[in-house]
Parts: sequence; C-alpha cells; structure tokens
Amino acid sequence: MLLDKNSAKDKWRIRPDGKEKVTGSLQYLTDMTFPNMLVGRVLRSEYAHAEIKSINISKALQVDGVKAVLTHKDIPGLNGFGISNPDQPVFCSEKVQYEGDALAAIAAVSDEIAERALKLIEVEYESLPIVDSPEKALEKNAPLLHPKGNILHETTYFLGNMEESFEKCTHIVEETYETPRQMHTYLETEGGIFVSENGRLMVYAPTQHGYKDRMQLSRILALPEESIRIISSPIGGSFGGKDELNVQPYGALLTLACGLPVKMHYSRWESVVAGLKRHPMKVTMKTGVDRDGKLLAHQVRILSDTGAYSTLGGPVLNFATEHSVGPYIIPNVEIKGKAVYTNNGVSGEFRGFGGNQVIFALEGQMDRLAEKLGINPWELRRRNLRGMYDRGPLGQRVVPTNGALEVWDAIRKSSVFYKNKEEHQPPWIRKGIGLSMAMHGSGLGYGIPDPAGGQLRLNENGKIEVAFGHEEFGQGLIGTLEILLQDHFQCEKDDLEIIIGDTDKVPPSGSSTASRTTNMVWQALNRLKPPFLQAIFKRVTQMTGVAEKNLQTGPGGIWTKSEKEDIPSLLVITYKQLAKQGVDDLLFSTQFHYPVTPDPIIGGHYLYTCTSVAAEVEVNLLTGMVKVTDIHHTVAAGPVINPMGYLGQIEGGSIMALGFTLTEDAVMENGRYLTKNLDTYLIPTIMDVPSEQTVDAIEELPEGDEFGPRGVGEVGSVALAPAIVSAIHDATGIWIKKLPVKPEKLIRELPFLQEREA
Amino acid sequence: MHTQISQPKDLQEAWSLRQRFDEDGCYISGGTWLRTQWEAKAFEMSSQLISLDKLLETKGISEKEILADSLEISIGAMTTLAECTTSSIIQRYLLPLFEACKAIAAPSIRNQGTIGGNILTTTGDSITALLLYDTKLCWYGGKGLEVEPLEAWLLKRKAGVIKKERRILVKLQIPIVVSEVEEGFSFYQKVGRREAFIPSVVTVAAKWISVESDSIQSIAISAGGGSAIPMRLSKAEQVLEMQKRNKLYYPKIQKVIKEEYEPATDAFASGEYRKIMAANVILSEFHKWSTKS
Repeated sequence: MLLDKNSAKDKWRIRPDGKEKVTGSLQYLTDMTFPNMLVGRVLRSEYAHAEIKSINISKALQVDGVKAVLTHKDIPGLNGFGISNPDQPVFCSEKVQYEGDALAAIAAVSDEIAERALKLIEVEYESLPIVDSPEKALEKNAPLLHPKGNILHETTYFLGNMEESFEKCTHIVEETYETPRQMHTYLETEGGIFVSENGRLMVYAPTQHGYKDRMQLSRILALPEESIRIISSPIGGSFGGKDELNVQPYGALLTLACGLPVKMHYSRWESVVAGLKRHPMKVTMKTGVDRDGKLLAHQVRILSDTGAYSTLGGPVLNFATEHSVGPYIIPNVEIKGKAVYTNNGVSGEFRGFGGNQVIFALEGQMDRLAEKLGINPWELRRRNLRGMYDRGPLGQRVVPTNGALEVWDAIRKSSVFYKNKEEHQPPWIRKGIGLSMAMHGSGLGYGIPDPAGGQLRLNENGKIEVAFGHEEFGQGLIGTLEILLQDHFQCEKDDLEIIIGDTDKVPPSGSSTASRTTNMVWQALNRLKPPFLQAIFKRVTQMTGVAEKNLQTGPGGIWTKSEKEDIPSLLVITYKQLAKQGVDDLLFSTQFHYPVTPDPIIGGHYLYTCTSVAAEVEVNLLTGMVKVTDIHHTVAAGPVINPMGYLGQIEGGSIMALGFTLTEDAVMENGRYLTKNLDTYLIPTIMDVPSEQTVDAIEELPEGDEFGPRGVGEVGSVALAPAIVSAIHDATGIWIKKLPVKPEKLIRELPFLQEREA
Repeated sequence: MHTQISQPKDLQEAWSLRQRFDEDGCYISGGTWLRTQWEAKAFEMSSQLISLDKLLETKGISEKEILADSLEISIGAMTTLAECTTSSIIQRYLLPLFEACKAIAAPSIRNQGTIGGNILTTTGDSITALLLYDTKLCWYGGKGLEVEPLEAWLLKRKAGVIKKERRILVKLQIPIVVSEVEEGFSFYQKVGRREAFIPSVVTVAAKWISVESDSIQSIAISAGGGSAIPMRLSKAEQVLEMQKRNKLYYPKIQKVIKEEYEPATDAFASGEYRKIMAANVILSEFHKWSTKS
C-alpha cells in the first residue's frame, strides 16, 4: 500500500504535538525556568590525550556569583557512566582521553560568570601521544587507552570453510568501505534542569530511557533510585543520541551541592565535542560467487572506531556483525569485528545501530559481483535471497518472514523505472538509478535484558489512562498510542490520557530504542485490554443490570451492543460516572520481555523487517555534485498503525541517510573536531531533499504470526546509501567506496567536450 | 565584561568613537558574520560595539545618469542583502550581484546581513560579482569620503598591507554602460557542498559583450570561493577577448584559468578540485552561449 492521505483515510491523523512544535509554542524541558535557577557549565579538556598533573579550582571559587565548583573529588558514588559499561568518567582525575572529557563543573548565577570562572580553573596537563585511528590503536606499541587494552569488543562468526569455498568461486570481489562519523544533529542540544526538593532529586532532562538514567544517576550520586525522579518528555530529537547520559551527572551533582535549581544546556559547539556520533567503520568484504551467481563465500572484517569510551560500542559491533550477511543465503561465512578505543570523540547509539555501515558494504559487494558476472544486480540478489523459513544471519532461529522476497519484488514496480530518461539535459548532467535492500533486526537481541511493560486504568477523572516508560522524541509515539487506544476502545480522543516520560508515574518499559516501541505498546495493550474490559463490564453490570456480554466501550462511556442495525446502541454509563464509584480495582499492569530467539547467539535478533530502496540521482560532472531526485522505499514491517507516523519515520530516516551518504561527516584531525558547527557539518536542507519520495508499506505477515506491527524507527535509514552509490555508478561508471561521497571523485574536466567527442 | 553598544548618529561620531575605543572597539552592521567569528573563537567579541545602524549616509540604492549611455549606481554599505534581492535597479543593471545576494546564507541572515559587511569579510560572494565592474568603495576615515577601487583594496588585503580596516565603508559606486548591460551577457555561479544555505566552494562570474561578428569583447571574469579572496582572472580575460564565438578552444582557456585562479585547500575540498571546477563552470557557460542558436 502506497502510504499517503488517500490510502490512510481516517487514520491520517495530524500528530497531537505537531502544531505546537511547528509554531514553536511547545515548551521543551530546556525552555523551563525555576526561581533562583543557576547555570551549570562543564570544563572540557584542552587535550585529546594527556595526563592530568593537577586541577586547581581556588580562583574559580572566588568569583562573585559562583555557587559551586566540582571535580572528581566531589562524586559520592561511582565516577563513571555508560549504558553497557560505565567506563566514562563523570570527571577525569588522572588522564583525559578525548577533547570532550570533563574535568570540572561550575554552577553560577549567570552564564557569563560561569564562563569567566571556567577560564580560571587551572589544569596542568602532560600531553600524551594521540591515538586518532583504530589502526594506530592496534599497533604493537600503541599507548594503552584502557586497562584491559585498546580493544573494547571483538566478534567472530564462522560458517563452512572459507579457503576451500573461495577456490570454487568464479568471481571474487574484495573491497574496503568506509563510513563517516555522523552526528545525530537534534534540534534541541543536550540539556536539562535539576532541582533538589524535599529530599528528592528532580531531573528534567531528555532521555530515551528514564529508568536507566535513574539507575545510572543513583550509582553516581550514591542515592537510592526511588529518591530520583526523571521527567524526560518532550524531547527535541534524539535518534539514539540521548539514550546515554549527557548533562545529567553534572546538573545533578551541582544542584545537590548548591541546593538551588541548576540548568544545563549545551551550545552546539559543546554538543559536537561532547556528544555521541555514529561509529565510523572500515568494512572489508571479500565475497565470491559461482558462475550461476550463487554466493559461495563471504569474508568480512569490521574495524569500528568507538572513540574514548564504551557506551554501546560493543552492542553496535554485534549488530554490525549480524547484519553484514543481510538477507542472503551464503554457505561459507567468516566475520571478524573489532571495536577499538581511540582518542577520538565517543561513538555510540545511532539510528540503524551499526547496520547502516555494513549494509552499505554488503550491497556494494552485490552490485560489483553482478557487474563481474554480467547480470542484472537485482537478479543476483534474487538468486541468493532467503526464504520465509530460513534461519537468521548468524544461524539463529528467527520469526518466519517473507519480507525479503516481498520487498525485492515490490520495488520493481516503482515509478522510478518508468520515467522518461530522454529528458533534455545539459551534456554534463548524468542520470542514474540504483537499488538496494536490507533486513533489519528489532529489539536488543539475545542475551540482553529487553523488558517491556505498561499500565492501563480508568483514572479518577474518568479517562482511559495508559502509562508507559517509553519516550516521545519526535518519532510519533503519542499519535500511535492514540490510534491504538481508539481502535481498542472506539472512544474519543478526549476520553484518553496518555502518560509517558516520568519515572514517578510510569512503569518500567525498557528503552525507546531499537525499533521496539510500537511493537511493545501493541503487545502491552493486547495483554491489558481483556482484564481491563472484564473488570469494567463487571462493574457496569453490577450497577445497571445490563449483561456483560451486551456491553462495549465507546465515545464518552460504556454502551450497549447493538445486534441489529436498526436498533441504536445506548449509552449505559459515562466513564466519569463509572470513575465516581472508585477506580482502585480498575488498574492493570503487565511486564513481559521482547521476543527473543531461542538460540544462544549474543545479540542475535528474532524479529526482522525488510526494506528495498530505489534512488534516482543526477551527477553534475562540472562540479562532481550529486543530487538525489527521487527515492522510493518499500518496507515490510507488518500492519501500519499510524500511517503519517510511519511515513514520517521512513522519510525522516531516509533524509538522515541522504546526509550520511552525501554531506555529513564530523571530521576529526589529531583528536579534534574540525566541524564544530552546522556551517561545516552539513545536514541536508529541504533543497537537498528530492521532491518525490514514496513509501510502499507491505503489511501482510505470514499466517499465524502473533507479533504484530514491527517498529520502523530505523529501517528507513539503513539502505539508502548503497542505492545512491549504485545510482552514481549507473550514471558515471564510478564506484564509490567511502562516504560521504566526495565530489572530487566524480568531477570531470570539461565534460561537454568529452560529450562532443563521444 | 559586558559589551557596550553605541549607536552614533553620523559618520563623524562613529569615527570618533572608533578612535576613542581603539583596540576595544569594533564597528558592527548586521553582525551575522561577526557572530560566527565570536562563536568560533576566531576573535573575542569587542567590549565596545559601534553600530552603524543609524547612519543615513550608508543606506539606500540609487542610480544617477552620468552620460547618455552611462549610469552610476550607488549602493549604501548598510543595504541588507535581502534589499539587494528585491531592488529593481540591481536586478536590471547588476544581474550577477542580484544572483549572488540571493544565494548568500539563508533568508533570516539576508534580512540582517549587509552588503558592506559581506565585502568587509574579504571573501563574501558579493565581491565576486562586484569585481566584474569598476566598483569603487567610498570610505569615511575622519575627513570626507575617500574613493578606492574594490580590486585595489582587495589586493592590499591579500598582501596584508591592511590588516584591520578602521575606516567606515559608506557606499559602493558602480559605473554602468546601459547598452552593454542590455545587449551583453553575464553569469554568476556559486557551488557549495549542498544546495542551499552553504558557504561557497567555488564562485565564478563573468560579463562580456558581443557586438561584431560574434566575438567576445570587454570581457570580465572573476572567481572566489572558500577562504580565497575573490580575484579577476585577467589572463583568462586576455585569452578570451576577441575570440570568435564558434571557435573557442577550451583546453587552452582551461589551462589559463587553472593557472591563474588561486583557491585554498581545506578539509572539504582541495585546491586542485576547485581549479577544475572553476574552469568547468566558467567554460560550460561559454559553451552554452556558443552553442545557443
């Protein structure tokens, strides 16, 4: 189904937070102020790698208006954070490992005073050699960045026999692909407000996982988790970047030290330096086929620059390892991955989670092999495509899916192929079309706690209230919940109350990450609805005498079921009247785990979505610039709950991938960012986005599938890069292997003369 | 520590303030470029900002007839870039400048940023367009107006003769031959790393006339982009002058452009790439012109 207003019909809902966001009237957490609020600032390292000889804060403390200056000595609990491994110091004490490292924090009555005081903190450093690439980190005599060595994590996977199988191949392609250090570039940079009142710490700071932040903060502050309340929505964008702690440790420590509210809000510059990025990866693939185009052997080496600290560098590498086989059946596979510490900026969670990098490489291999074989690259994919019941990429059992074949087939009908190619163009414009596909796992994978849950009740105000520990960071959760609830209860929007983003009010639901949220709320509501309705109907029957089997929920209250069309339903009791009789026994909650493969492969996924992308480009040979003129996506992710939200996710993910492919790279030199602002770090503008972009949603699931709608938060971003690169090859004959595409690779001298001579 | 902003009412007052504040003072017009420099810590925000906002002499766009076929166009330095993009005088007589202003930054910045400020950065895109003409800068340095050719001033800046400009740029004077504009040809092309709201990688512009036997006459070509101070490509002009439209030998002109144009290399684009692109873009425009029926 082509997703648009017409196909969505009454499900085409303008997002509830849309108007406020577009008009700028929405108050984000970082827009809030409190009386007597102080400004918090962090002192960052002057070096990418250095020993700290001394830190002297005495001059800063004397500045009028400075209320606190804190260093590592002021941390009551663990001096460290990190979702999977807390090895990033809140404040460095002995050495600094990247330019974003924090040494001290100041709370002052104004930003100017805080800024002045920051300059008065005296730090003596002794510089150390800078390890600015994973290759350097792996050298024999490389400086040791972490006690256990410079390798954060390694992965290996073997299937069959590599050497023998390469000998049998008719064609082998070996290539190294490189991907950029992409920045999340949320509109709202990291920030928050921290208030200590009545013995509790209130944290108003965006995150994708309030309960995880609460746990991490309790560890740093040595406070019981219950004494911390995390209020985390609304959020001005995250894309994975705010799942990890950022300002929270500093704001919390400062407010506890001063007893006054403290606001932290990074400038774009500080956000660039201190914030997470997508892991730059070098992916070497050697892939062989027989003469019939059957893949025989696939050898993969992944080298991931995880930067100075762990955060989720390990799980991202696991994901990359799994996705480097893709939707193809290959009998002999060898994958070795390394995530390596460097003195570069910290890499972490980012939409696509390591998939984007390896899919670019894998699809590049397929196109190059097809060229060697002299067959259509899409046909080569079909010959190797997985079937409905095949095992997953690492041999694990997965939920049956025919998505790969469905998206392979559907994209062939894309309008991209039916355009008039003969349009009049100047001789230096070359047009090309490219295709690519991918499968993408959702959820965190085997062996990683991935709990979910929710709560449903009739509240005191007579509203059907749901509470989830998930967050709204622009992906459209609230709109999706509204549609799901109205579908379940046939009620009005006004009958609903949706509670998210407050650890005092919501149950733990796990993180809003890994394309898992839509699926988790769908499953939670399916579990909560029957007991909730049963309890309500029982109560109504007791009150009114109408039999339970004749009751249904509807607009404003409980109605009789009408069995014949000419007999109208009657309102039996309103939700408000019902609530007046007490609501204590009308609360239901559920806890469950994200579906996981039964096979013990750490990080291995069970639920998969599939996508294929067609992209049309124009390459200007005068300048080497690439313009993407059309993009068509097909996505097989089960039923569409919120069509506008679904479309928004695919289009948004796609534009993010457009940046990843053509312009975005946080360039580092000697451990320092060169692109410190958005005038050199270039995200696409509306002028860079194709005027046409279509999304075809394949909603059918195999018979008996009970897992429902899969999330689409990431899948729109994973497969565009190889499609664009394939289209560039179609247009120019040039293979690109490093992103973002450098126009210097595509420019030709006086191309109109070549045309004339040709 | 707080920055003071003064708003002098005339040129003399502004000049005196600048003398008085000495190293602590800085003129400010739209402030859009200065802000990026402060943020980048290229230099500190001065403690005394002297706003040029109230100086009437620096405002407005006008045309004055000099001879039957010639005009002098005057553009106040405080004219915003947005005003340049809506001026019928600029659109009619200075099309390359009109195109240049439309492609500088984004609408909100064009509403604030001024043409004088763009020139004083020494790398602004308007300069590449203005170099096609005998543009003169009118300065106030305490005693009446001093007139200086734009190109001469740029050469001094490039050579480091003037490091910091203390004079106030009051207006630009641009002489125009009306018939050359009406019958002549021109182009302006800017290429950045994305489609819009982007600093230039390469900016080129040219104008010429072609009255007799389809030959190129009175040609002016200029090029800038990146951190390069825009320049006239005089050698390329010499090669093209009097060339026949249907007999342009591109490789030779390309070689001259590549030798003459002096772009910088940075982390995003090499000098060699910029040279190839400048030659490509300039010559593609002549190619379009020469193949037009």
